[in-house]
Amino acid sequence: MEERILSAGVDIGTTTTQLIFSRLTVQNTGGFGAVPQFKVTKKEIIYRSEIYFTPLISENEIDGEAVKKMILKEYQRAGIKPEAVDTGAVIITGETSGKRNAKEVLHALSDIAGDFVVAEAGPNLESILAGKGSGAAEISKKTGKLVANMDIGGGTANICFFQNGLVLDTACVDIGGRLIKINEGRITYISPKMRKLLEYSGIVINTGDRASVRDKAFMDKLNAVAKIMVTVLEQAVLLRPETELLELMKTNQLITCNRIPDRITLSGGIADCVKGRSREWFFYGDMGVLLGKAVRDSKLISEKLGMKEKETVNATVIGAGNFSMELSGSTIMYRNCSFPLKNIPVIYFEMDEERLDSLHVEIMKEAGRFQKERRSIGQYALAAKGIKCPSFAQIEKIAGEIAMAWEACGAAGDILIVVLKEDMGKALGQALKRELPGEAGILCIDNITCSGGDYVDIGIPLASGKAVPVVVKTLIFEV
Amino acid sequence: MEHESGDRAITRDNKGIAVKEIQSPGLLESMREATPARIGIGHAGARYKTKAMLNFLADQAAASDAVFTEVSGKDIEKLGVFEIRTKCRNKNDMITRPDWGRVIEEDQRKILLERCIKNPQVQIYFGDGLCSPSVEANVPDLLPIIKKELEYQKITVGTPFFVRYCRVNTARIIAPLLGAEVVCVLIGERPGLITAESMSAYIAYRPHPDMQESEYTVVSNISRHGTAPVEAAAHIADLIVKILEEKKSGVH
Repeated sequence: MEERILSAGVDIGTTTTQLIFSRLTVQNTGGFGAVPQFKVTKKEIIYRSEIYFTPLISENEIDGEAVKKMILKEYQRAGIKPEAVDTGAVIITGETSGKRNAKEVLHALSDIAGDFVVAEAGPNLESILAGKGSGAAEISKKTGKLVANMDIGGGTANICFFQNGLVLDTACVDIGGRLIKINEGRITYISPKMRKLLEYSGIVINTGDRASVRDKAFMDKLNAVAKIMVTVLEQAVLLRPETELLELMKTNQLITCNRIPDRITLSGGIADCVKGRSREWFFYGDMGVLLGKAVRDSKLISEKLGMKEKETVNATVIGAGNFSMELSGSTIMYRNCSFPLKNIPVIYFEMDEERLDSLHVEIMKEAGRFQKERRSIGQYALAAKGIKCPSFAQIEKIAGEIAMAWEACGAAGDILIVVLKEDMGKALGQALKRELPGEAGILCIDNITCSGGDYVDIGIPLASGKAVPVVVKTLIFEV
Repeated sequence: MEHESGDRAITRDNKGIAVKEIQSPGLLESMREATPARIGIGHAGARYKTKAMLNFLADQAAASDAVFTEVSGKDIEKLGVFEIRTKCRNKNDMITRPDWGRVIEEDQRKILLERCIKNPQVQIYFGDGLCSPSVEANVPDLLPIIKKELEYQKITVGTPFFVRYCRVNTARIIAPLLGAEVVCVLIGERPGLITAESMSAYIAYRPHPDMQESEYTVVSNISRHGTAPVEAAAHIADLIVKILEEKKSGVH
C-alpha cells in the first residue's frame, strides 16, 4: 500500500523568496502480520521556482500582494492547483519575520496555499529546516560526526548542530550579506544591528557614504567589517572564545551545548558566495560577495569544511517543503474531529509513572497557567512523553485522570487533543472515548515530540485514516 | 547470569559493548538502540567473547525453556478463566504431534459447552502455543482492553478461557462448537533469541474445519520488546470490528 502526498515549501527570506513542490511517498513499513507503521519513504523535489527578490513596500513591510502574485504564477507554471497540495509550509524567515506585517502576509497566503500550508518559522525552526534541507542532518547520521550547519542569508545566520541525524542545539545571529546595501556608488542602507556592530568595533560607515571598489581605504573598511562578522560566526559555533559582540549580535538564542563541531556545512545565499564563481564585489548590491570571501578566508571555518552539502541556496525552502511535516504513529484514535486543526498551542505536562494519582492536578495546574498567561481559553493540545509499554491498569488510570482534568478545564465544544511520544495513542484514545460522552471530539496521537509553547498543525488523516500528518512549530513570532 | 522472573531474555544490555577502539561511541550507541541484533559485542580471535557467549547460551536456554515450561494453574486462576486442553497429554506431544494440538476431545467439548455463552459475536481465548511465558506477560494487558472496547461498541464477547497445548487451528473446532461469528486466538509465538515472551493474535471470520490458512488475519510480535500489548490490543479490537462489518478476514 502506497500513498503519495504533494508538499509545498515557500521561503520568504530577507533577500529572496523561493518555492518548491515535492512528492512524498507514504508506505506501510510494518510488514506482514505487524501492526501498521506508515512512514515517509521517499522525498522527490518535482518543481523548483526561480529565485525572486522578496518584494518590500518599505524597509519594514513586505509587499504581500506581490508575494501572492509571484507564488500564484509559480503554481501555474508548475501546473499545480492550490487545492491539490496536501502539506508543507510557508515560512517567513530571517530578518523578514521581524517585519511589521509578516503575520498578515502569512494569512493572505494561507488561502492560496492549499488546505494545510500555514507554518512559519521562528529562528529556531528555520535553523533546523535549513540544516535538514542542506543535508547536514544526513551527513551527521552517516558519519557520526557532530555537524554544524550555518545557513547564512541576507539578514541572519541560522545555526543548527546535528548528531546522528538528530538536532542537538540551534542558534541564530544577525549576520548576513544584506545588512549593508550599496546602490549606484553609495551606501543606501545599514541595518540597526549592523550599526551596533560598527559602533562596537569603532568603524565609521554611514548611509550616503560613497562606495567605490577603487577606493582602497573604503574597501579596507568594508573588509574589516566582513572579518568582524566572520568572527561572530566563529564564536557562534564555538570555534573562538565568546566576546560581548556575540551577545550583541544574537537574534534570540545561542548554542548552549558547549561542544565544538567536527564539521561545518554551509548553506544559504552566502554559501554560494563562499564556493561559487567570483563576482564583482558589489554584484548583489550588498556585502554578500565580501562576506563570502571573508568566510572562505577564515582558517577556523575552512579547516572544518569539506563535507558535501546537497543543497546550499535552496536549503531552507527544501527544509520547509520536505522536512516540516512528520507522520504520527499508525495506531492512533480520533472521533468527531474536523481536520485540519491549525495553530493549536501545546500545553506540556509530566506523565510520571510513579505519580499517576495526581495526574489530573498536574494537568489542571499547567492548563491554568497557560490560560492565565494567554488570558484565553481557546482550543489547545495536551502533550506528554507518555509511558513506554504501559499496562492496562495504567492506561485506564491515565484516561480517568485526563478525563477528570478535561471536565474541569476543557471548554465545551473543544476537542480533547492528546499528543504523545510513546506508542500508546490508540489504547489511551479508546479508553478516553469510553470515559467521555459520545459526542465529545477526541484526538489521541503518538510518535510526536513537542514541548510547551510549541504550536501544532494536524492535517487530514492519511493512509486510509491510520495516521495524521503533523507540523510542530517551535516559537512563532517571538515579538 | 541474572534472569528475573517474567523477563526471560534480558541478557542484551546496552552497557555490554565489548568492541575496543570505538571511533564514534554515540553512533554505535544509536545503532544498538535501533536494532535488537547483537552488534558491538566484539570478538576474541574468531570467537565470541566470554560474556557474549554466555549471553547467547542464556538466551537460547530461555527460548528453549519457553517452549517446554508449563503455564502454571495459578496464572490461569489469576486471570479468572477456566482451562481446557487439546488431545496432547504433555509438551512432548505438543511438539511431536501438531495434529493433536488442534483436536478437542469430547470431555473438553462438554466443559466448553457448559461454561461458555453460545453464539457470541466474538469468541476470544488464549493458548500457550510454543511460548508459555507469553501468557503471563501479555494476556493481562491484551484481554481486558480488547474485551472492553468491543463491549463498548455493543458487540457480544464470549466467555474467555485458556487452552493448554494449543495450536492456532483449534479455532476450526471451537468456532462452530460455540457458534462464534469471529474467533480471536491469542497464542504464544515460537521464541527467538530476542524475546521469549511474544504473542500473536489470529483472527478469523466464521472459522470452520475446511477453511484456508490465508483466512486468518494476524497481528504478531506482541510483547514489550515489540508492539506494546495495550497498543496491539486497541488495534486488534479495531480489526475485529472491521472484520464483523466486512464479514471476512485474512485481508491485509
